[in-house]
Amino acid sequence: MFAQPADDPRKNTLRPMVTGTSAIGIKYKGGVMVATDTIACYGNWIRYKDVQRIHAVSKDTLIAMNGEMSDYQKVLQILEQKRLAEYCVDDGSTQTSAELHSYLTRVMYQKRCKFDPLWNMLLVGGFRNGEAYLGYTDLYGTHFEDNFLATGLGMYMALPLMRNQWTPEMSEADARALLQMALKICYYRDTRASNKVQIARVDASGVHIDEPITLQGEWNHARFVEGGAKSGDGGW
Amino acid sequence: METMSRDVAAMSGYGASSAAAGPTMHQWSPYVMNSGTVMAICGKDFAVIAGDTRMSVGYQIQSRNVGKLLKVTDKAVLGTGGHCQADTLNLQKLLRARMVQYEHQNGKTPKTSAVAQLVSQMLYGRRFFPLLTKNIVAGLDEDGVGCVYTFDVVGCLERVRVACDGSAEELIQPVLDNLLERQHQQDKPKPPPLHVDLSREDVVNIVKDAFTSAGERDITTGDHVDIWVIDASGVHQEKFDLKYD
Amino acid sequence: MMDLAFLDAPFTPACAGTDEPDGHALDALDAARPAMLGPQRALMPNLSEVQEHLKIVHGTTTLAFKYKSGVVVAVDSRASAGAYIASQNVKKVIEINQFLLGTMAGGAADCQYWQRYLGMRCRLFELNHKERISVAAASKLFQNILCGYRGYGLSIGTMVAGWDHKGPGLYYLDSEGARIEGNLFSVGSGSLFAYGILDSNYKYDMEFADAIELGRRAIYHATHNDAYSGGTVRVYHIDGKGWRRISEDDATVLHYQYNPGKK
Repeated sequence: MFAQPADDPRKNTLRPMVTGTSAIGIKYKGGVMVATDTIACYGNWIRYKDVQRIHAVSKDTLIAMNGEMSDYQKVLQILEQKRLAEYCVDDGSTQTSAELHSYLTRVMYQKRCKFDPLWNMLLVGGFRNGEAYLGYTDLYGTHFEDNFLATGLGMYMALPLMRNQWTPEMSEADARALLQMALKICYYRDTRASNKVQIARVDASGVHIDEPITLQGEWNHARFVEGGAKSGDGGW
Repeated sequence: METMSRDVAAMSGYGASSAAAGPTMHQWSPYVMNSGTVMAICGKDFAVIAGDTRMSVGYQIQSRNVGKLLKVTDKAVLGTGGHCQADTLNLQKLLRARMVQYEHQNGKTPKTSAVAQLVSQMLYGRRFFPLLTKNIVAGLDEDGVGCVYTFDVVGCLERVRVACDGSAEELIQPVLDNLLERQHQQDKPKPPPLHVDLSREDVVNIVKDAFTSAGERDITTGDHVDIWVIDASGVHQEKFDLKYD
Repeated sequence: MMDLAFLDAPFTPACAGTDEPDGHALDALDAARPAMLGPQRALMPNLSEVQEHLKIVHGTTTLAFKYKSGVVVAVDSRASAGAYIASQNVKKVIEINQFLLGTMAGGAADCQYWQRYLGMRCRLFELNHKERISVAAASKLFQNILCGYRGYGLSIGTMVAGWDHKGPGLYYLDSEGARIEGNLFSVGSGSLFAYGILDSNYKYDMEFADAIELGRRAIYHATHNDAYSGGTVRVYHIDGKGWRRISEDDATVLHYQYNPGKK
C-alpha cells in the first residue's frame, strides 16, 4: 500500500502501464490452443523482453493475458488461492474450465464495480472429458465462449483470419499453423508485438506450455519493399 | 428538471474541488456498449420474444453467437438488448438464483408479473450505478394470456402488447406501432387491450421482418436471431439467420 | 459451503428504519454495491452513457386540485427519452391504495419505485394503527424518504392526493425535499399551459362535472401546446368512497371534440 495524504481522494489505476498485447486462442479436434508473444511494453518501450503471458491455473485449464501485467499477476494470485483452497479440501473434485472462467468473470466484474478494474482481457482454455473449452473475459466482466477468440489488436487482425480458416476438424498441427500465421500478421502490423511467441495447449494429456519460439518474418514482400515510395504517403 | 449528470456533479463536491486543485483524475468508464436488439410481441395465448446474437464493441464484432434471452420460468423469458454484457450477465445470474430461492420458499414458480416486478426491483437496486441493460420480459400471465413487460435501465415497469429495446429500437418500434398498435389510424380496428390480434405465424413473421430490416441499417444487430415462442406447453426455440457483415 | 446469505436480504431501501440511504440492501451483495460513498464518489462515472437510456417522464403534464366535493387528478401519458417518445401509454397516476393517488413527473422509475414502496408503508401503518393513514402522514413519510436521498440525484415531482378524516388532501412533493399543501397544483413541462386553463376557470365551489371537465381540458391544452406531453388524458376523482378512474381519452380525439370546426 502506498501512503497517501489523508485528504487526497483515493486513486485507482484506471489505465494500464506495463502491457502485453494480443492473446489468441482456438479449439481444435482433441484440444484447445492459445498463443501470445513474450514481451511487456511500458508505453512504446519494450520494457520486458521475456515474460510468460500464458499460465496453467489447474491441471486442465490455462489462461492467456492481454493488458496490464501487474493486474495479470494479481489474477494469477487469486486463481492460485482458489486452487489451494481446492487442494485443501482434497475431495478429488476440481473445477472445470467453465467454472474457473465464471469465477474469474465475477472477480473482474466485482473489481469493475469498485471502479478499480483488473485491466486485462483474458482467454480461458481447457479440455476435459473430450470437450474443449475456450472463453473470454475482460476488465468489465464480459463473458462468452467461442471456437476461436482474440483480444486487443488481434481482434482486428487475427480474428478475421481465424473466421476464414477455422474448422471443428482441425488437427493440432493445423491449429498450430493457423496460430503462427495469425501471430505473424499481428507482428507485422502491431507495434507492440514481438516475433518471439509462446504457444500452449490443453488436450487429454493436460496442459502443455511450449518453450518460446521465434517466428521468421518475411520482410521482402514486394509491397513491403516498395514501401512508401510507391504511393508517396510513406505507408505500405 | 435537473439532468442526472448535473446532479451527480453537484453531489460529488469532493471530487469537483480536488480535481480542480489536485492531480488529474482519470475518468474511467465502467461501461462498455455491446449493443444489440431484443423485441417481444404477445398474442391471445402466446408470446414471442427475440434477440439477435451479435456481440460487438465499437466497430468490432467480438462474437457472433452470444444469446440475449434467458428462460426464467416455463412461462417467462427475459431478453436484454442495447446492453453492457457484463451487467446483463450479473442480472441474469442473480435472477436465476432468486428464482430457485423463490421456488424453494414458496413451492411454486413465480407468475410472470412477479418475475417482471422482481426484475424492476433488481434494476432499481442499482439506481445509483445502473446496470446498462434494456430489458423485456415476455411470457404468459396467470390467465394464460400473452404478456410483455418493458423496463428502462433503472426499472420503470410497464405492461405492453409489443416492445422493442436496444440499438434498433428506433428502427423497429415505429413499424410495430404502425402494424399492431394503430393508435392514430382512424379507419383501422384497434387491438384488444392486452395483446395483439394476430396469429402466432404472423407474429413470428413480423419479428423476422423486423430483424432483417434492422440488420440492414444497424451495425450492432446481425448474425442470428433467437426467436422463442412461449405458450402453454413451454418455450419453443428457433434460430433465424441474419446478415454476417 | 457457498455463502448465499446475500440472497436473503430483500431489497430494503434504506429508509425502512432510519430513512438513511446508506443501508442499501445491496451492500450485502458486494459485487453490486454502488461505489459512491466517501472518496469513491469522486470516481462516479459521467452517467451520460446511462442517461440517454433512462426513461425520464421529463416532458409531462400532471395536475390535481381540491374542490368542494373531492380531489380531481388529471395527467397525460407520454414518456420521452430525449426527442424519442419512449412510451405513449405511461400510467402517471400511481394508485398507492384505495384512498391515495400519486402522480409521476421526473424520473419514471424513481416515482414508480418509491410510490410502490410508499404503498407498502401505508399498508403497514394501517395494520399497526387499525386505521387508514392520513394524506398528511403519507406525504410526510414520502418526504422523509426523499430527504434521505437528497443529493443522490433522484428526480421526482409528485402530488399526493387522497381523502382522509379531514376530507380532501393534496400535497406537492419533490426530490429536493419540498412538501407543500395546497388547493391546486400542476407539475411538469406542460404545467404552465395547464395553469393557464386552471387559474382562469377554477372555483372551489364548482360541481363534480365541471371539475372533471376542467381537469381534462387543462391537460388537453397542455398536450396540444407542449411537445413533450401527449398520448392519453386520464382523469381520476377522489371522494369519501376512495378514488375512481373517470375517463381515459386519446388526446387526438379530444382535440377534435374541443375544436369541432377544425380539420
